[in-house]
Amino acid sequence: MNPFRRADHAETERLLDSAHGTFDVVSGQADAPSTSAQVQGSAPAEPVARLLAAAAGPGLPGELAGEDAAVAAFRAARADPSPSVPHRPHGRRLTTGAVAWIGAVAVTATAGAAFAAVSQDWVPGPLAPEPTRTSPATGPASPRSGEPSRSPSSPGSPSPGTPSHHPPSPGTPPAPGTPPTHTAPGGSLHGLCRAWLAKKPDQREKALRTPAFERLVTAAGSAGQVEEYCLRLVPEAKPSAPSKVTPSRPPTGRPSPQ
Amino acid sequence: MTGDLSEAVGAAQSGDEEAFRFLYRSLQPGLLRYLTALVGADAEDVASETWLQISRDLPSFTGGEFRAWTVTIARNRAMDHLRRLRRRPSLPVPVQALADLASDADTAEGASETIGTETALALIATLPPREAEAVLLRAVIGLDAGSAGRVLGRRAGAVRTAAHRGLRRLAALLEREDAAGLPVGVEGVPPPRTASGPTLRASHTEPADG
Repeated sequence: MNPFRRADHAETERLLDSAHGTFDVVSGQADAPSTSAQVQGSAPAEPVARLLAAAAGPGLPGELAGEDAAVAAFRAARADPSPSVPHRPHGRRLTTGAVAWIGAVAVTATAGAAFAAVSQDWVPGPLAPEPTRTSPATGPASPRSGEPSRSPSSPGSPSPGTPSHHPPSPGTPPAPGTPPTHTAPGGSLHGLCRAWLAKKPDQREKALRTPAFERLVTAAGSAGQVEEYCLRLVPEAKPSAPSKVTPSRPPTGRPSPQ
Repeated sequence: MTGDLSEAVGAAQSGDEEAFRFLYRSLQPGLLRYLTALVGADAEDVASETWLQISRDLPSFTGGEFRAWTVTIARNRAMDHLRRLRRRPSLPVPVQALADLASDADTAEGASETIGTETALALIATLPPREAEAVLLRAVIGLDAGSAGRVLGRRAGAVRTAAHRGLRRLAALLEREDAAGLPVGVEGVPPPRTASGPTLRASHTEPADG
């Protein structure tokens, strides 16, 4: 009945291999999977073969809807090759900063009023420089208010791939409060590279066989290419430049899913 | 096909926009289908993030299996997304898909193409996450077991086993649907979950990540 009950893995592997076609509508090969999947012939397996072929079937109309947005991102990345900063953390950070700042002002003002009520000789100002509580805001002047077009309407739902994506201008280093939690998605690879390059040469090869560095090997292509890859990715990690401290530091900030 | 792909990767790395479009068209359907199994309706958003990162990190891609590289990015973005939502990967329960399967089979009885792509994907998504991922990476993305294992952080043998179990489960499901005359068909109103495949439903509680 069910061929998979006894079947060896080779049968499964053949089915899986034959299912995959190309989704590329341009080349017109998309109908390949259904024919090849049926080469299986064995009648009981056929429904599964068909199911797999259907799952790997030609691209559906809606599936390529994001093409222009992706190309816009591609263009933007070419125009600004420095690792750009993803949208989402920006929006959240900005909002958090604003809220914290407003909160600080409120605390200061309230505290000032409270002080005023208690001790008459103390004359508080609404922007008294010593708030009763340390707050993340470093000063009364909002450090971010001058930055245009950074505030998404809602922090929860930015649309990352829209063509209107503004890469941050490369000339502007992240001003006063460089957020420690902010890591670019590629940053974990930077971190992995730094960690790997920091190892003794005789331990490097072994390290690449551990799951921790698996992503790095995948990104580099193979274990043999990791060194070249890392030196290109984090040139400042070369021994000659010890003083450079990059902002995207926390190596554990972005745990890999496995 | 693979040759075309790596050619296009090289061209895109040197800034060829058309080559990038080719990459997008070649890879996006598979990525989107895989992501749909991981994050459901948010798949398009996560796919956008994925392409954003692919665009940005393309210069740092130095060879190897490009599909595996992109799908690793996609998976990481999906896991980040799920982490943000503070929930486990929960695959959508495609009651509608089962109904679609029924109608597909009705309209094209005996014909060779009886299952639509969306229905097929929805059925695969009913598998326990590990199995669904293995099947999708192998059959839809087109990775071999070794590459799929690297994406998932598992050994190739574990991927083979998971895919094998997944296909076995799918075969049983299709067989049951067939034999039972496709019992799930209440239009509009989702039928009670117990209407079909209680073992599949139960298996949903399995975590996706080990």
